[in-house]
Amino acid sequence: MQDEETFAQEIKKRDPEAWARLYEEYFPRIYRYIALRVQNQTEAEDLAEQVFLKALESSPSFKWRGAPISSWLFRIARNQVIDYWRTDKSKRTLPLNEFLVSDTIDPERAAERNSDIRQLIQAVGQLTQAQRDVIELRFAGGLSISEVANILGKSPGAVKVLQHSALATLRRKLSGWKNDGQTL
Amino acid sequence: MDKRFEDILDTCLDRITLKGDSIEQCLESYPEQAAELEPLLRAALAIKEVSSIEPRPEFRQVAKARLLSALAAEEKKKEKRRLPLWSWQWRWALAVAVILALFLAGGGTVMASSDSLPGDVLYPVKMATEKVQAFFTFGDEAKANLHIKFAERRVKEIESLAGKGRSIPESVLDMMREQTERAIDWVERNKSFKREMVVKLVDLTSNQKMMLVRLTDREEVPPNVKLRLRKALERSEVAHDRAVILKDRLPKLENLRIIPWRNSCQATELGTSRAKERADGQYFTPW
Repeated sequence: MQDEETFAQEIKKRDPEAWARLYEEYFPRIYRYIALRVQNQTEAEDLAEQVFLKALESSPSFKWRGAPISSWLFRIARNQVIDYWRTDKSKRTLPLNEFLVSDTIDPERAAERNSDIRQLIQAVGQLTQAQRDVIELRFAGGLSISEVANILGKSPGAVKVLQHSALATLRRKLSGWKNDGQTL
Repeated sequence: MDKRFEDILDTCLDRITLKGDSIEQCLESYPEQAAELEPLLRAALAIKEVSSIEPRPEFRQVAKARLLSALAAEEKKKEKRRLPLWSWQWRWALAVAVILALFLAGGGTVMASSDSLPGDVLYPVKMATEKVQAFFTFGDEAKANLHIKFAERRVKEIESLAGKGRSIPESVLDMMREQTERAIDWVERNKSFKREMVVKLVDLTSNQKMMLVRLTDREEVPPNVKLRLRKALERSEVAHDRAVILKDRLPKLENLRIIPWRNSCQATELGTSRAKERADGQYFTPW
């Protein structure tokens, strides 16, 4: 991606090409982050779309202060998910549905991966909220430590500590899991 | 807690996820911490791989089209705001003038224009009649139905033009697209849309696609018209995907049990809460 500041200016000016690039670059990452949090494909798609529409709505007042565009988008996504859970508690009963996994078209393998996703969601659900935020933004959202720190309003050092403790907890919760033939 | 270990862990994570290094390469760089690092890195890698889920490609394409169309609509609104205050008065004046002209021309002219095609002398009368009809149609649902009706008319007009070996102007393809998209926009905006309307949209967009494919395949169609038709087909495919996504979101009939008591329906546990609200245009009584 080109120089972040120029890109941010184009986004603010609502340049269609810049918005198309922004969408292509971030939609799958925003979707993954939301999907792990709402645990439902259709709801995650709707919310991910809403994130971009909200970003469009608020773009005229967007001010580039040196933080990457990703921080702005993921902050909107995080608030969107918080609102989603806050507004209607009945959503908690929505069934976990099948997710589309990226690297396979084999239905047997896809079912296996979906079962892994459910186990991961359950394990992540047992972390503290701060640990959850770090794991979801870092691994599902694909963000760097400084980007995560920026979104959560914490120092990079504090995020690294949370990352360490979260991984240690997940490793215990997921013991026996196999990945690439290796047992965790 | 050892602060340095967290930095090492993060460096290794970046090396593995961003630079493509293996876990073993990373462990070699930190032999003293290797025993503690290895299980954490394996857990992180597993989490990263498992969370690589994707949105449905058709949804991704449609959501992009909707975002860009929202962007275009915002820009249009901005332009409208720049127009002088009296612009809306011009619209009223135009509507009154058209009504007057149609009244003076007589109902016969309006009737005669209904079969006209783009390029015919009476086609502008047909268009003006439609504009007046749209102007005096109130309510989102009624407007959406009207747009579906007009878009269906455009399909018939395009087929008639092709049947008569006449050229298909870009304006009629644009109108068909615009009227279809307006109807879809309305349904997407309104959560309580009716099944009947979604089915109509799926049929409409499917007919458009089939017609455009048929015409594009015809040998006698000149290359410049083929290009227009292909562009229209691309837009029509996006519109069809949007309509199909709306249809997919309707609850499956088989998941619903109709309970005659209190004239309401109950969704079984298979339906989602949103599905319960949307089924078949009915509003469900929450149990």
